[in-house]
Amino acid sequence: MKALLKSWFDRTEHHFAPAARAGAFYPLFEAIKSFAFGDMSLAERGAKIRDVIDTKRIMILVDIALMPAVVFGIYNAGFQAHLLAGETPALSASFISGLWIFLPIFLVTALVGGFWEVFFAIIRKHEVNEGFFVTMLLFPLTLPPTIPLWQVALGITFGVVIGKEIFGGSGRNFLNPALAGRAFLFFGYPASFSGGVYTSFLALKDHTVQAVSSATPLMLLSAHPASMHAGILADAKISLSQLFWGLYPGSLGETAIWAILIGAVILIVTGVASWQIMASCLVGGILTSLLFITNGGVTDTPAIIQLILVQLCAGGFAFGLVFMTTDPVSGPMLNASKWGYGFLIGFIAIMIRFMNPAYPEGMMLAILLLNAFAPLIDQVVLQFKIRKRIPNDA
Amino acid sequence: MSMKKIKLANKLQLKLAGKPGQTLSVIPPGTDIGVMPAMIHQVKPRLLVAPGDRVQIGSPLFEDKANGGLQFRSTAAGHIADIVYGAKRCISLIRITRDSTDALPLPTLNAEQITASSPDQIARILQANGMWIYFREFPYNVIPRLDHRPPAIYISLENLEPFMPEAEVFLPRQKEAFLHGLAILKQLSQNQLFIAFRNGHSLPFVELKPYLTHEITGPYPATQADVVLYHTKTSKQENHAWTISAQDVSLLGQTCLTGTFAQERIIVIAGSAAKTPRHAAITIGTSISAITGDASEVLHAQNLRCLAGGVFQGQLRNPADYFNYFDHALHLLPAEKPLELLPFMQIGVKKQSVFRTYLSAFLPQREIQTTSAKYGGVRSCISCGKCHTVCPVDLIPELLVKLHFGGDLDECLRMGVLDCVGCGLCTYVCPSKIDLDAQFTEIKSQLYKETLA
Repeated sequence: MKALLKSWFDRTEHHFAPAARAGAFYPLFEAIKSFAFGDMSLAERGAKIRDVIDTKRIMILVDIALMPAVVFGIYNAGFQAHLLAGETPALSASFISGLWIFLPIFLVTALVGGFWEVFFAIIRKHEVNEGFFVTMLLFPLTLPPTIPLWQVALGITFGVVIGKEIFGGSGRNFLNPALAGRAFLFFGYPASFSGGVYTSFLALKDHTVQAVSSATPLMLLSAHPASMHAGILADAKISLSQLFWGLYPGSLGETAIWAILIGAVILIVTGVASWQIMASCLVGGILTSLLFITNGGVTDTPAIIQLILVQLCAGGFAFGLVFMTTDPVSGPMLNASKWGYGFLIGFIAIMIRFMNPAYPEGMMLAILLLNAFAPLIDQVVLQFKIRKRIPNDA
Repeated sequence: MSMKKIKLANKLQLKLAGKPGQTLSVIPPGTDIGVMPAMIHQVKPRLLVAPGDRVQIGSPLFEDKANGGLQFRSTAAGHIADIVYGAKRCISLIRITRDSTDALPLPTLNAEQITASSPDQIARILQANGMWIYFREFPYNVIPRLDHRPPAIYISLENLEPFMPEAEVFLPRQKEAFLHGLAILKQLSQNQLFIAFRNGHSLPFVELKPYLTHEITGPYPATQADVVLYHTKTSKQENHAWTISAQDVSLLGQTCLTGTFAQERIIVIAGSAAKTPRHAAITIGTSISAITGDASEVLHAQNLRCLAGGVFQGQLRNPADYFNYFDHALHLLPAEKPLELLPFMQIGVKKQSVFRTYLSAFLPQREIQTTSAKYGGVRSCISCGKCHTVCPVDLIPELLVKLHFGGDLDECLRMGVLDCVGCGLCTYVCPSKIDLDAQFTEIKSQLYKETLA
């Protein structure tokens, strides 16, 4: 069977030879062929044997690690929509409604972003790069379920073109492309991210609207000192347990901490993501929360712990920690730098939450800021490393 | 001197198929002998023979214009059959039809003469009997200029690259010549001779004991001379040390004892496409097809790649080529990988990888059936960080290639690019399939040209 498929590719290949009519579209042909069989070329220069790993494998593992968050996110989106319509959401109904919400956003991301990837591959005459496998799944998960599809298209265009391609494509971006796209939408169309946007009206049809929760947990806590946090959460009937299991309105992939943790385990066990960044970000987040919570007038230890956990479970902190901070291209290259990088992200994210009433969520901004500073951290660490070498500048 | 112990943490342990057994067979040279000057890197050959000339073992065939006329000598006696030129009139092949065993008498150096000779006198003898070509001078890994003398010589008893001849097989056969060679090198280097051996391995003969200076623990390339140098040096001046391979010490000793240019070498025939991987004694200059043309030696001849050397540092060869002076192995590999649908989605019980992305990482290690496939298209560096972890001399390969791409050779120098030992491990592990070691060779080549200017 695969021999048949291979011979079909071999017969069609000449149409995409450089001088042939469809020669410009070779990157698209190659992308499909190597998706099916992997790259068939041989090692010509340098070491003549190579490891079986390729970038496709690394990217697909990130996608696999994202799957629990995706599946639950789909379910949750549908669930919240039915809840809003006053129905008791059944499992299958929630999934189906959830797919109606998620799939259009995902497909627009994949098709529009994919178009740009292939476009740049064609005009630059190189193979389509696999970095987009990850971006196309990550980007929808950071968006609210009610985001208009035309904004999704704009956002992914910005993320892929300005966030990545103008710098040279995959591997040369200094910002995380999914996050750059989200930041563009956030600052360009803030109404899409505020108010009651986190619950879809999909299931409504002939039902009347019940009370709409017009704020996320972080929005409720923002601008209030820590001493009031426990009370606010109790009034809004939001428990820590709910924040961990994720069955509440939020961005498509960010609510379920348990699903994100499964993803973290997959990424760490396979060695695809840096545990050093995750660990230092967690420590940074915990210590900064501790600082602001104790300064905000809470003295009771169980209450402090409770509020720290709320900070870790609410909003995009967990999702960003596992999937965004660990993007190797936009992060620092040296292991020693990763500790400082992660810690600073955790610190700044929580600090923005507590100190800036205009931004209830600070994670995206913290990550983008540190993306810009990662090369500087590397430079500093590098100077220390070089000092230890005996010069060899014959 | 007290023994220096160097321990390299387990950077990369690879179990490759096709490991040669310790049996030794002799490959008869036949009548077709060839020398390929264009394949010798950094040498500018000038022909000293013409078709029809009679040559003896040891007759000079060509000389290096760029290094004071250093002569490269014949390993066979007969007549020059023809001379083949390649692109830009480079001397691609000098073909000799071997028909006798006449040898040209060359300068000798016996045991009594060694202690009475100065380094300069020894150098001149080695340049005159053709053995100088086996030295390499760091950091550029070139044959030393005729007027250079070694500040130190580092020799490694064992080459751990898959797969190279084992000292246990060749040294016992070359004992007298090897010890004689060591004595010469000790005098040449003014007693700055460092011999590295692998911890836990028994010595081929006890007379080596007083020469040993470095005890090495660790996988390839821990025992390589420049890796040992890196972990030993304490000042910039030591960067210009020399090396010579263990077997070449024997050839040097033999030539200085007998006055006849050493023509024979023990190589290995290895690799997952070799039917009987083993050691073999060949005459330098034998055609590669003497082995690859033999159906009893090769598996799947249709999909074959020949390498002269090991899997990491070996050079691509055509079966129509000939073994040159510096080839210690013939590695036979399947070229392409087997056809597979959606390889990146496989669970990968049988896929051996350094990364933990396949299930095999959590199962007992199996032998890798190597092929010469790249397993991926070339991509930009994604900063996975693996290349830093496998480098034996603490370099940051991803940084060096990025600096090279940006044209900043000075910064490459500052970052230590000349310490690169060319082991190829960074290239092996790179998921973006960047030819890192080829780039470092290019960088070193560019920097070397600047020193000549």
